[in-house]
Formats: sequence, structure tokens, C-alpha cells
Amino acid sequence: MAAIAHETQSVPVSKRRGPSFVTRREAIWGYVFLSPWIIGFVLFTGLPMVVSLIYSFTQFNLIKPEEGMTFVGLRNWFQLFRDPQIYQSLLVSVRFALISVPLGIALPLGLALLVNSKHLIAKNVFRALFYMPTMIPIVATVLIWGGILNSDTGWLNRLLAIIGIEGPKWFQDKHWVLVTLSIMGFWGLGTTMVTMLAGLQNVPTDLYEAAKVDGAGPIYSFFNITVPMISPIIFYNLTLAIIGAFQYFTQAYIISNGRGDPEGATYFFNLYLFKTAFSFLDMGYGATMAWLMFLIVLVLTIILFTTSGRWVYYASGED
Amino acid sequence: MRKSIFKVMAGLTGLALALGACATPTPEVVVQTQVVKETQVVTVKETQIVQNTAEPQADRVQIYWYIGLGAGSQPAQIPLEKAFVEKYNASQNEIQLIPIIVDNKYARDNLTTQLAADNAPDIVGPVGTAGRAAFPGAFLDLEPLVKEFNYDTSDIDPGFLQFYKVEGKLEGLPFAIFPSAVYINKDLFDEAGLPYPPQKLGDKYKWPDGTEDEWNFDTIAKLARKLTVDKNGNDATSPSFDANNIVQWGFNFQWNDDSRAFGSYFCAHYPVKDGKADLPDCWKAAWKWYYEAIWGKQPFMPNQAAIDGQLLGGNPFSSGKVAMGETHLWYTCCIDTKNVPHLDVAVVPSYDGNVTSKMHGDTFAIMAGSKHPKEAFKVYSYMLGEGAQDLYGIYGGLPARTSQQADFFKGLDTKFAPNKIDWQVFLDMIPHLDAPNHELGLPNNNKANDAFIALGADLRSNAKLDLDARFAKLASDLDLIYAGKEVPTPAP
Repeated sequence: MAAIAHETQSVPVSKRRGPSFVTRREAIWGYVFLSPWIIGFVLFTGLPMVVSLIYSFTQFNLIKPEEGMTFVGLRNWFQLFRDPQIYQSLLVSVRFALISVPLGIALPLGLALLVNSKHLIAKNVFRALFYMPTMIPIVATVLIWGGILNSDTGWLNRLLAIIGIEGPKWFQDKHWVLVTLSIMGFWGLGTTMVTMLAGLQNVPTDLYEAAKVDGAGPIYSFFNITVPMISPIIFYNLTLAIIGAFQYFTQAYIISNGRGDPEGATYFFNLYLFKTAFSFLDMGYGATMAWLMFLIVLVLTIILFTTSGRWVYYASGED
Repeated sequence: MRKSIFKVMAGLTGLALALGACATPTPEVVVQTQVVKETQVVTVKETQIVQNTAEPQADRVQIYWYIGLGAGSQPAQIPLEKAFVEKYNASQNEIQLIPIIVDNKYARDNLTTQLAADNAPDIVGPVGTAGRAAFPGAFLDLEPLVKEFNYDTSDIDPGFLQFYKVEGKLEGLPFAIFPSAVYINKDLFDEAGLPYPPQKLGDKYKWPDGTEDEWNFDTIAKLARKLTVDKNGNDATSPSFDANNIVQWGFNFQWNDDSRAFGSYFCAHYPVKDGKADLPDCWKAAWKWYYEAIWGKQPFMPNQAAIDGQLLGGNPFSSGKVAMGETHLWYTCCIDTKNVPHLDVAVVPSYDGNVTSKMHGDTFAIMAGSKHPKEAFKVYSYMLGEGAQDLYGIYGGLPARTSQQADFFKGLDTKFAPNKIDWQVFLDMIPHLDAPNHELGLPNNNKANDAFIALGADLRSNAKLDLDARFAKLASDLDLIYAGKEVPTPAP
């Protein structure tokens, strides 16, 4: 016993002097392989962000660079609070987010559940079909949907007319146009569906079996097993969806001819930003708006992350 | 706590890095170096990127020709423009001309982006007064180059030279003018048993029963209702007319979406007085007429959805489903004679006893930021000289040079043969041009233009518009815009 006690006597551990040579070398090689991306990020994102921050304190005419930049201090920033269009455009973006984000989570989840179902024949075919529209360029998507949703000759309204429903003026009615844009976004749900599907396939089946043994039905299993287990995926997609909703631009620009038609209903914040900088030639104010959008999205993302601990379940125990 | 904050910050940083690397590009307000790609076409109806016709050649100076601020981005024009470019490039060894073609709806924003990226094209055009007004100060003064190259302006009306001067700078040399007229689809008139509209100023419209009416917008409306037909063959005056299933329309302002533009057919006016909005009663009458024509009990003009739909395909008169289309001479570029095999033109209707045939005057301009202004002027000289006939054929403009006008009409006769169109109508309309011109620059020009265009869009799209309230809003918005203040859009 004494020998064992002797053998188990703790040996003083010498103080660590930092990472070992091998660890440092590995880290260096890691940074070397990361460097192309880091350099690209610094050059094409980081530096331009710094430049646009500088622009936000200046005024200059985009098509008359020879007149130079005029430092105007915080004038552009104060203008943000005085400009009624800022609030209107933010409201449009928020309204769109409230419609498109829940749909952008629920629908792909539903599709993922469908294509993950053991009862579905030719699953891979359906997965491919649901994913394929994401590869179509956005401009082409808008034009195709423009034809489908044309209120006079579009086949959707024609189908509705067959069953006696007068279809709305999808693009011309200010009450419907945001819904229309959300519908158009359905084609891009393939990517989210794939990530949701990956999450679903990683849920241990023994959990479902155990729940079944305890008498749980499918709905109970869905809300108490499936959703918590894929909550990290949902959290990831939710974050991207919110950021994407506030960055929304291309589709609105095309269908509204760059003016936010009808009646300003599609005058998203990013569209107003683009118009300010490139149509109305006020680059300084446009840069300020860009930073406002960045701050708004940053705050929303922080809120999401700080609240995630309450509803995101990491199976590995991380919080 | 510290660990949580660290994890949150690490997560945010990682997410920012990930999104920065992977996010879909959005319009960050940055200066980016952008390579000007040759022959890029950004269209609405045709989502095609037309690939460059030639790679930049090292032994030539590249001159980029930006097309789309005015005419030039229609599908029918693109191959002709490419042929023009190839012909020019084959005719000499010094310069390689490369076209950049952008849909007119987006050309202004696109060009601004290129200018912001210090990537200005060399030549822009054809471009009218409105297109140039959107880029104040961005064009080169051509007078020094005219003198340096001894450019001959002897057969150009001096008045036209003044037309293209802005604040003393000669921004362009007169290329083409485009008076307005009413294009008529004769087959639709024949089918309805109705006489064609008058082709001489002052003539009245003769109805089949022998009565006559002054050729004005009231008569246009009366006539157009008889030429507007639903899918059951009822015209708009019939009690059984189904306004939800119209298959043929009597009238349209072809590609004149700007409310200031179609308002000017009723009267010419400059909508600024003492720095404030000045909207004349004749324009409000025009807008009410327009709205009633689309949404009234007996509609005869297509709404926006119909224009964009399959039947009209974005080019109403050329679809063969519109009996009368009022627009400019440049529209000869884009009429499909398979759909409109028998066409002619008629004089512009009057309003309140006055005829206003609004005018477009196009030119080509050299950008102030051009890196090769002398080479650009050589191309420019070719475009307005030896190559002008080809360009007139593409854009349908009446040559500003009197020496070239006869050949221009011969070219149109060939194009529309065996139709015999009375081109004299356009010449007769010239003295009735709108002065002040409807495209003159406004204070805070781009925003002001947007406000007028937005009214046009609302008139075509909103069946329940309160017109007086909308006009009042336009006036108050313009007051703010002219003063450089911000304007809110209505709460959605």
C-alpha cells in the first residue's frame, strides 16, 4: 500500500512556457494556408469597409471626382435621423424580414422532412429537384417569376381563375408585392433545405425509438426531439436569413425598375442606399447608410447569439 | 462570464469572416476596380449576357462605346450595332471599338457605377437631353476637338449646335432628331371598318357616317374605344365589354412611361418656378386622361401588367395588338412588320387647340474621363459622318445634317417596303416641338425625374389611385427635391 501510495504521489508539474515548437509550427502552417483568404478579406472587404467609413464623414460627387471630397464631420450621420425615407425603407426591410424569415426556416425544414421520409420513393431525385433552382442566376429567376406572376397573363393567376379566385396584382399591389418577393425566394430554399437535411440525418434514431416506446407520437417527437436536435442548424440558418433579409436588393431593384415601385412598397433599405450613392450621386451619405445597416445587422446578430443559449441545444454539451 | 463573452465575440468574428467570404455581393459603398467587359448586355426581357465580339487587341487603342442611356438596347438593334462595330474595326488599324450595351432601365445606374470605379467608357450614345442631364459635367467639351480636327459643321443648323450646349460646353454634335407622330396599325382599322386618322395638320377625323371631329385627344379616346376589343369580340363601347379580358387595345403612348413625357403631348412646360414645383393644368388633364384610358369604364390603353404580359410582351404596338401608338421617330427601330404588316403614321392630336409633338434630340458624347479623347473623337467623327447612315438605320433618327435626310427616308422606305409610309408627317411635326423640352434638366435632376417616372408607374399600376391627392403629393415631393431635401415615400 505504501508502495502504491508512493507511486501515486503527485509529481510537481513544471510551469508551461507557452505552446511547443510543434504547436507553433502547426499554427504557422495553418495561417499560411489561411493567408490567401485573409489577404482577400483584408483587401476586398476590410479595407473597403474602412474606406467607406471615411466616406461617411465626407461629401463628394461620384461623377465629378475632380472636385474632390469635402469633410463634413457628422453631418451625414445626423442626416440619418432627419431623413424620413430611412425609416420608411427600414420598415420595408423589416416587413419583408417578418414575412420571409419564418417562411425561409419553416419551408426548408418541411421540405427536408419530406425528402428525409422513409416513405418517399426516389429521395435523391427529389432532393436534386428541390436544390436545382438555387443554381439559376437571380436575374433570370426574377424574370421567370415575372412571367409566372403576371397578374394578367401569368399562369398562377390563370390557375386561380379556373377555380374562381381572382388572383392579386402580384407586382403592382403594394399589399402583395412583399409576399410576391417572398414567394420568389422559395426557389432559393434548396441550400437551406440541404443543411436542414444534414441535421435531420444526424439525429440519433435511438431517441425516436425510445420516445416511441414511451408512447410519444410523431408531433411530440418532432417538437421535442427533432427540433432541439437540429436547433444549431436552425440557428445558423436563422442568422443567415435575417442578414439576407436586410441585405435584400437585386430582386427589388429589378421588379421595381430601381424605384421601389409600387408606391415605395419595395423601397428596401439597400435599394435606397444604392440610389443615394449611385443615382443621386451622394456617396458620402450612401456610405453612412451602409454603416447604419452594418450596425443594425450586427446588433441583431448579437441578440441572436446571446439568446441562443436558451433554445439552441448542442449535443456535445457546448453552450 | 468572461468565457461567455469571449465565446460570443469569437463566434461573431468567425461568423463575420465566414459571411464576408461567402456572402452574396451586395452594393457596398466602396470604390472597386472593375474591368469593363466588352459587349455586356443587361436586359430586362432577355436575360442574356452578350459575349464580347472581340478580345482587346494589344496593337490597337480600345475605345469603349456605351449604349443604353437612350436608344440602342432593344434586341433588334443589338446585332446591327455589332455589325457596325465590326465594320468600323475592319476599316482601320488604329482603334478597336468595343460596345457595352445596357438595358435603358438600368443604364443610368450602371454608368454611374462605372464612373465611380474610374472606369468611364469613352463614347456614350445615342443619348438625349435627359440622359445627359443625369450626368452633369461628365462630358467632354468637344469644341477644342472640333477645331483640332477641323470638323465640318457647315451643313448643321446653328440652332441645333446651341441645342447641345450645356453651360457653354458643347457636349455633343447634332446627330439625329426624333419628332413624334401616331403610328397606326392599318389592319386593325380595316377590321373595324374605321377610316385612318388624318395625316395633315388641321385635317379632321372623318367617321364612317360622314361626321367629322377635330383631331384631338377626345377624338383619340372615342376612336380608341371602338378599336379596343375583348376576347369575345366586343369593343369598349359595347355593354357586354369585358374589361378584364382585353385582347386588343385602341391606343398607347409607346415607351413614354414618364408622366412628364406623356404630359408634354398635351402642352410643353418646364415644371420649375422660383425653385418650386409648377405643374400646369394641362399636364394634370393629361394624367387624368391617361388614367381614365387605363382604368375607366371603357378602357382603351393597357395597364402595366398587360404591357408586361405575354400578349404585348413589353412592346405593345409591335405586338400587333394596339391600333395606335404615339411616340417618336426612333420607334421605327423596333416594329416587327410580321405583327404589323401594314402601318402608317398620323399627325399628333391636339389639346385645347394646340399640337405638341414632343421632340428628342440625340447625340453621342465623349466622357470627360475618357483616357483616349482624340481616338474617341476619331470614332465619333466616323459615327456622325461616314457611319451615320448605318446608325440612322439602327436608331431611326432624322439626320440633323440636311444633306443626309433624303437618304435616311429612302432607307426607311426600304426597311418597311412594301408599306408606303407618309414620312412627311414627321417633318410637319418638327415646328410643333415642345419648347421648353420635356427632357430639360431639373434641380436635383435624378431624384426629380424619378418622381415623375414614379407617377407614371402609379397611373399604370394602381386601379384605386386618388388622382388629386397623388398630384398634390408629386408637387410637394418636387418642392422638397428641388430644394435638395429628403422625401419620404408613403408608408407601405
